[in-house]
Amino acid sequence: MRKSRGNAIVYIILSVLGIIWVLPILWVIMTSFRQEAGSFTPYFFPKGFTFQNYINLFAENTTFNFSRWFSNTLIVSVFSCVLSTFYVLSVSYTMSRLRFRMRKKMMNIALVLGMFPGFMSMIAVYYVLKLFGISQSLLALILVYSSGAGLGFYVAKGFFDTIPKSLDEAAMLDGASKGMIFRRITLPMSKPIAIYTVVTSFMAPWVDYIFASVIMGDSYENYTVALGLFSMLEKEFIHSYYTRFAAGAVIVSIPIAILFVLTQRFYVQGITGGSVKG
Amino acid sequence: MKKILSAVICLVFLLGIFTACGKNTSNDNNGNTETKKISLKVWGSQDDQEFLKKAVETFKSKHSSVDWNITFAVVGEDKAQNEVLKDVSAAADVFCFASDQITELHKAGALYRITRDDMMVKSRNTDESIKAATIDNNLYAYPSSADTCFLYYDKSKLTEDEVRSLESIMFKDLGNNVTNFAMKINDGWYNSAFFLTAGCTLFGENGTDPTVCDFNNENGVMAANYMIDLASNEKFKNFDDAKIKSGFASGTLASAVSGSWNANDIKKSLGENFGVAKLPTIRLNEQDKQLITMSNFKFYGVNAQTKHPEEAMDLANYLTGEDVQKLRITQKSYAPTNKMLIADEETLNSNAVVRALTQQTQNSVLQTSIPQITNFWTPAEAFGTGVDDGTITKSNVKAKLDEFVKSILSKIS
Amino acid sequence: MGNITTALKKGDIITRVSFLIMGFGNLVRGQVVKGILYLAVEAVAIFYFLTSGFASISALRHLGTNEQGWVFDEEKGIDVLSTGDNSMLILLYGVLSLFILVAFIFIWSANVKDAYHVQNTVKFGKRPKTFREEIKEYTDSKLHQTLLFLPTLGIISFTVLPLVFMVLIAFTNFDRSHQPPGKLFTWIGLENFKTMLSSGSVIGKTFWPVLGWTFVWAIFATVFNYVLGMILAILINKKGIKYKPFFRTIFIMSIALPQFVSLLVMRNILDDDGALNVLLREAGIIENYIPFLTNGTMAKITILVVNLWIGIPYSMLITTGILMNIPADLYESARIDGASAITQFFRITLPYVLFVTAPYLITQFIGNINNFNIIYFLTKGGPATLDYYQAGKTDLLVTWLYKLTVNTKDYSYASTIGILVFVISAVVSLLTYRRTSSYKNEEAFS
Repeated sequence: MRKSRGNAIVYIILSVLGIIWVLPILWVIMTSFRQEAGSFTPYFFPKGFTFQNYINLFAENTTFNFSRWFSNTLIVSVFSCVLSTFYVLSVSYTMSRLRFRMRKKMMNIALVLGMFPGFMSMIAVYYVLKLFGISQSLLALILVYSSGAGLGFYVAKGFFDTIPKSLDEAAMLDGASKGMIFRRITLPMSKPIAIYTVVTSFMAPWVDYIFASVIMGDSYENYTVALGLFSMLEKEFIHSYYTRFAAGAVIVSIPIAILFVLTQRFYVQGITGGSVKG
Repeated sequence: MKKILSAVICLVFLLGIFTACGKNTSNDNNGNTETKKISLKVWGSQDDQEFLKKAVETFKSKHSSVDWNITFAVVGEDKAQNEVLKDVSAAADVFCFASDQITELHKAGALYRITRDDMMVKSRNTDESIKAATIDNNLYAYPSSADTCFLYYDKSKLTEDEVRSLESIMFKDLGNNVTNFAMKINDGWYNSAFFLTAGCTLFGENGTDPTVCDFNNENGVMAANYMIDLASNEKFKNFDDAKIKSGFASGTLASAVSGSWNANDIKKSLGENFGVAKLPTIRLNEQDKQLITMSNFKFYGVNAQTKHPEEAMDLANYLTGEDVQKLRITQKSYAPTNKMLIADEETLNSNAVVRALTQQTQNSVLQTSIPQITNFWTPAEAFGTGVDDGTITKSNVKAKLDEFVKSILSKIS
Repeated sequence: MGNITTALKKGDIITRVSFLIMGFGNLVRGQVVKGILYLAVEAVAIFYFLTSGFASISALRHLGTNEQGWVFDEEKGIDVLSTGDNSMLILLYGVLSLFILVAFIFIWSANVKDAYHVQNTVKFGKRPKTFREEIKEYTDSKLHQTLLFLPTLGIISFTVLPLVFMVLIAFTNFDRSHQPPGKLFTWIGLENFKTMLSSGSVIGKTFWPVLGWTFVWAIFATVFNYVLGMILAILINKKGIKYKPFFRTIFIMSIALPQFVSLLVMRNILDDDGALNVLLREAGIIENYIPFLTNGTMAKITILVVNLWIGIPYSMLITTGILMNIPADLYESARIDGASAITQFFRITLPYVLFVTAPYLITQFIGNINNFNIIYFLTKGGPATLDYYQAGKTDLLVTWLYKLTVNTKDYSYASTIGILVFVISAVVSLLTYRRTSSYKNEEAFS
């Protein structure tokens, strides 16, 4: 009896919180279907609904080329996610499994580097890219997003630390080289952390605004969705384009949300160091 | 320990340097071929792109001896300074910028000194615009249009007579849900009007002395008190551009202060009832005084590091010439700086927005371009915010004004 | 270093020649490919340093002397630009050349060690390894070098190099009155730090309060998210609660949305005339709007609350996993002792979860100190205040830093702030991280 009443309270709390949680999201979706233009309305529920915002988003690309930005972002995130995953797994495996001089020192250096605010050096990053002759290109974004990934190896290293070392030793006795152990034994066992890394690095280009804006500058054709959607909110456009901005936001969110919901299990396993069987 | 690693880092960097150097040399050889091939990049705001492209096509047809390759990119005049200064060598050859940026752009060495056809530019534009484009007796920019804020109103709610004075606008009862008058009171571009109207000056009489600002004298207190009264009135709202447009669209706003960039949106939502006028008078010290605004110009500049200075100057000159300015009046509602066009009543009257804008420009003070102006905006925003949320009251207004002025005049170290 | 002096003392004439002619030892003793590689590196390096490298490094002393100007060009009939020195590029190329110099010294010393090593191999009558054999080592005993190669390359070029450059900027007067290419800037030592930390200067008066709010924000944001997320996880995982995956999915919707979207939308919803105020007014709950983002104190609270909306799901996900792992008999015995649910939480759950997630908590704290997105997209640092220089009531050090670089181009002050933020983060992490279990466990593991 007491227990069921306790559960009822929990249900109420969860439901109320759940409504609060999805309300802003519902509002964006509602706005994306709103017929009247404008970023502010003196009433809450739209007066009319339309699908036109979505159609315009893709059909009208003279001012805002959303489909182009979308494919740019997709390209950047696919490549940077492949590179980042490779980087993170390489570094974390090395730090976890291999023993060599400087290992501890390099780990500490990585920790120190991670503490500088990244924004501080973005102008210098721009000039380094320019030195290589690749500023304002998608390649530049791919390199910048993925190169930082090597520093974020701590979570994955924690995961590798939990894989029994005896497996490696057994394989070593069978004459496997360290490279083979990495490919044949460790990688297959690290599915959760690999997926965790893939998901987080895939999401980064969709979310980043600041670095992309510094690197892209005037190169409108190479904008990512974040830059593009943000430019719809400039003072000249916000009124006519707010509903279209909302539609764009919904479109961008759908793939990411699906991806995230599907892989949340691995996310938990990855970040809690593999000690959890979710 | 990392032999190969460092070897490759070495090589990659070296390659980078060599390719970077190599590029520079190869580009210079283009000039000597048979028909001259000239590549130029032009920056303009997003909503100006179409207009620019058309204008440039006409320019090309007038100079057909050259093989033009003119490209466009979106950087609005308000963002020009940030984008140009980030990397001058990557910026456009010809770009549009707001006149208050000229000193900083010049100091950073980003503007080409204009000595080609400069007499022509000087003679055809208004003295004020040329003065603003001149630094140490050298011309650094081409005036393109004059800009300030003015009044938009809904003709179904207010008459032409009523919008002559702010008192009569505020006096009218338009019902509970309607805001009589709105402006962005926490923005120096707009709220400076109250101080300027009361007779205060920013950075001295000429606007060039970074150590003087008298917004905290008696007149300043009077202006601030007027702002406090206005902000506390329920028929007034502190609206930014987005809310002004939403307000007109939903019929809950009768009049608002804004700039010409909103003209098309507001015209669309008000239709027949679309009205524009110069700003109203306000009653200060028992006298009706015309609101005096800050004004500035849109300039075109030539990048100091352009490879083709002569052609870039020709293009900038054309883009700010009489023909293009005239087209801008009719198509973009931009107010001209060209003397002939300002005198041309017929053209001006063809566009109500331009007429209101030009009338207001005659009641305006040119926004200073000394670097200290960078320090004006944030304090002005803060002061306006204080007035709007009621933390600045008539009892502490003098002290707040003192702080305001101190912030404007502050130096970093 | 030790190896190099040994090589100098005990090396034969061939090894010693390798000090000057790189790869000589390898070439003479049969490792031809490797020897040629060393030699090629030396040739390229000498060419580079003679043509530009040394000049770049020596220009670091003054960062340029020749200011840009205008000269009359007879042929064109106009004033043309005479290009001057660009202090920023001089600094960047100087730093780059230093990096290359360091890399070269590395290779050079490797070459010396190698020459000595191959001398010994031959002396003991063994055959020096062939090039192919050495390559093969990179998949086994030297696997760490192979795996670390690309990541390190990326980090050095896009993190370390820019960082060194920006740290050096803090010691120059690269502010808005010294903008390249028009103006030169130069070294001024510790002046910027003095200005920043002295409470008398305009910028110092901003620094301390902003630092204070940064700390308050980071502490509250971290702790609230953590504890509330844990409670939410406990509620969802409570025995007898159905639809667990459904609830979990609902709550992670807010992180599945890209942050700039959700924050920009929140900014609109929470505006004085935004959807929330409209909703509350239509429902008749309020008459005047609530200044969620326009009143200083209110805005700070709003930011913390919105941050809960974004942050709680993360900690909920993480603690969910850990909660399932807490041995059930711990709770069983506690219940027998008559401990209430709250006591159980503080005695068992919290310590256990804390134990596992301490490093995560520290990363969160550092992340919040540097939490740029939420402030920039939600309030842009506003509402503005007369008390600060170029900063608003809700600006964190990082957003202020951003404003100083983008709005006013005061790079030197921005990078000074960056260094100070780093010092703060480093101290906090050093104090805490070394005590956490995972750090010590790692030790035990090796």
